[in-house]
Amino acid sequence: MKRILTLVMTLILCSFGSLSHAAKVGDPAPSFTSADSQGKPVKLSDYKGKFVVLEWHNQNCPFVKAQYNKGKMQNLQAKWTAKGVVWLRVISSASGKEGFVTGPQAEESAKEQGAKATDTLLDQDGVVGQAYGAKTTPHMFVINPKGTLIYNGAIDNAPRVEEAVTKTESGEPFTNYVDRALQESMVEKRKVAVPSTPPYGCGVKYK
Amino acid sequence: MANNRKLLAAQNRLMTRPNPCKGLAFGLIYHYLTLKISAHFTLKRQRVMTYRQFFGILSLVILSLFLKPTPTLAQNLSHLKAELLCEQTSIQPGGSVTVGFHFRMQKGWHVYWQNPGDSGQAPSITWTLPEGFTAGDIQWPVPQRLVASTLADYGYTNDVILLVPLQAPANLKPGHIVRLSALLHWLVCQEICIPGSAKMNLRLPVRKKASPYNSRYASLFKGARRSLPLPLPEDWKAEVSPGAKEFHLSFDTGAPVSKTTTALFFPLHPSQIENGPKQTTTLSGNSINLSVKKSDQLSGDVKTLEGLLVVEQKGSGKKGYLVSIPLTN
Repeated sequence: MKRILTLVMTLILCSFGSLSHAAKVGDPAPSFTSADSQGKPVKLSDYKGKFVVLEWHNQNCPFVKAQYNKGKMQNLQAKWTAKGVVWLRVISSASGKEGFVTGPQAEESAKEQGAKATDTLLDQDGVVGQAYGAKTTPHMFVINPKGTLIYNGAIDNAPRVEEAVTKTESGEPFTNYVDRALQESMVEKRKVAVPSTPPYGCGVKYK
Repeated sequence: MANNRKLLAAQNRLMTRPNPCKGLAFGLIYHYLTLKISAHFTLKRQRVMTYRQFFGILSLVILSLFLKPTPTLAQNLSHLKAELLCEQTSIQPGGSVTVGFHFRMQKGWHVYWQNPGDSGQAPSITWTLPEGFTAGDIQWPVPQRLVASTLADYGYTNDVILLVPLQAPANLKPGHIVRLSALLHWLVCQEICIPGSAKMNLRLPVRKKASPYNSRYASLFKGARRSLPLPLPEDWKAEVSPGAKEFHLSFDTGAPVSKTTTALFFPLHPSQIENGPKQTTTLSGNSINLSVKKSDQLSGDVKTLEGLLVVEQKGSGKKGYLVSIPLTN
């Protein structure tokens, strides 16, 4: 009886564990299938052999706007997609929540922003978001051609919406972590120096 | 036109509030007009800068004439009001005063603690002070845990005062007036987040005598001080032991703990614990025990857990304690 109870408890604990388990750098990136803005299913495994960037997105979030209004995010997307990187924007806002968009709305917004991402995924059930432990917009993930997660965290080291930063408050030079991770891993073929940072931004509007 | 009238009425309501401090600028902020377009929101932004007295009213009236009337304008006029208050009415050469940034949020909206948690951004202050003046750090009141789905933030609803001490140089000349200027930035969120800022000025006469307190703000400042965290009582023993997935915090209070006790830990650093998962409190004899999930992003060893322990008991209310606990292995 006690053994059964222990087993049940363990099972319960394990299922809880997997619920809130976030993607860890060095581990295989969680696989997923999600519809894109045109309704086509997109699988992570479709892009095996390529670097993949996941960008959690909400077009109304001021932190996201701070990136898009100045063209920073679009430039980064353009720079790396030109080198063969697959850049997927993921919108995990649930239906009725702030930032939720339909396929056509996502397309229109991407056009307005001049986004240069490969595709935009609509994750209104939050399945992809929860699998990766995406907390904010913009929370960023980089996956290498083997399917291993090599970066999880903030877009850059300037987590404030108001100022255009060249140096951070502590005097460090401005760093875009995603740019740096791709540069180190893809171009210089070495380990990512800063593989994990606390993400910043607006909370992902899960259901 | 009806909307313009609503706007003016709202402005007048805001304007007729008593002027906070003599010669003090009042930062009033108009945010953004929310337009609901199909299923998503787009935000437009209209901001009126700080203003004073007559010219402020005049410019607002003129400006409001140019505002496009929209159906949601009046409802979304202001999610937050920010005001700079001074506890004293003058400043002494070499003396100090305390100022308070008073945020009053619209119902359902919040601003953030110094560690905002999973999302958001703490308010920031950039001072422009006369030579020799120094501003101290913001004294952060005990925050609330704000849960949204699987995520949690730390912040303040309704209203909050951020206290900042200011130190004057010894060479100030009595009879003069000093002008202290602060650029305040904040992010105010409900479901959506809206950044705002205001430039706020404070003019204080320099007097030889010790600065008298402004009786008008006595209760506000008293309340603000009461909401600050306290040092952990000296006879309490705090310990943290790391488990595989959790940190186990234990506080021996030296006396039997009331059964109604609940506790929460607020981390000072953004990537030591997971903010979203429920924290569990267990009580045993004299001890309050708390288990918090380690951050998924934890890299390397944590040597010290820093933050606030917030203890709530029936009858004695909520108390926040500053804790900095080295880990035992």
